[in-house]
Amino acid sequence: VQSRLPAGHIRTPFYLRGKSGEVLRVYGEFLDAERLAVGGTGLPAVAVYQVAFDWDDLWPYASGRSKGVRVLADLQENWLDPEHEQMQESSS
Amino acid sequence: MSGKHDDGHQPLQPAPLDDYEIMEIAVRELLIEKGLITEALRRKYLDQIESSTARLGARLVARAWVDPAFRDELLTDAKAAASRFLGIEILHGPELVAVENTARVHHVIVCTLCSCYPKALLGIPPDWYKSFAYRSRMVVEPRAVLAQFGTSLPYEMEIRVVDSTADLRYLVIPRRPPAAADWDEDRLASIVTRDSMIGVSDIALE
Repeated sequence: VQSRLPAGHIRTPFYLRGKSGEVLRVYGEFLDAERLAVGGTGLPAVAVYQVAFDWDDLWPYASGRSKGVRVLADLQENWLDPEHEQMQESSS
Repeated sequence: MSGKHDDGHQPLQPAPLDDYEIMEIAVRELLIEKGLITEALRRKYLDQIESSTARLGARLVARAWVDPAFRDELLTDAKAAASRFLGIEILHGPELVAVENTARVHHVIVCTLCSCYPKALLGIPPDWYKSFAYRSRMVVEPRAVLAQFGTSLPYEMEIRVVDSTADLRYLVIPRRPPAAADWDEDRLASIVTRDSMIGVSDIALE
């Protein structure tokens, strides 16, 4: 998940930005909520994925026992990068 | 009732409208004036929303418990399955996804961004579902929050906290209590609670 901070109506929660997860389901194309919210038509449509995040990756400084917990969220494709691309970016 | 109020009581008056209420009335009147909606249509939708209760979701769950083919259909395309079985028009609403709780995996639903909720099947969400505390704590310490709902899950069970951040609404198919193994569909529907379909509790029999 990209860690951008754009203004406006964004459906990517802060706690997931910059985190890595695993795509569980591909839900298909939906009207773009970020454009719809500012009076647009929501087109072009964007793909929405259900992505699973390990609890330990989300809250690395938390204590407490949440072993076996995953958080699943539905995210628009424009917020997601394949993992290997992110690694290339960070190494360059 | 006398007109005197010298005992400190105020006469009953409607509360003044806040900004959002004034905005709602202004937009509503404009839409009606321009012929985009009618007052009758607005009432109809409002009535639909306010009259739907978790009973609809409970009927779906009970059917899924007794009919494996329907369960599969519900898990594959919840919107189509629910529309067909309940005979209600939910096709114009948001997409619907059913997730199943088992002995290995427990799902619980939250909307950290706002309060997305499958209103067509569960009615109006409870206030705690919309509270900042529930929305933020459920993704941070789900086991503790579930425990507050009286739900203690074994540590070997996977917990999936489903954050409904986009255009999909989630319904949990709770686990069927073993004691209800030979119950008929109507009796099963009577024990399926709203909270169990949000995933904050399992179904407990007396």
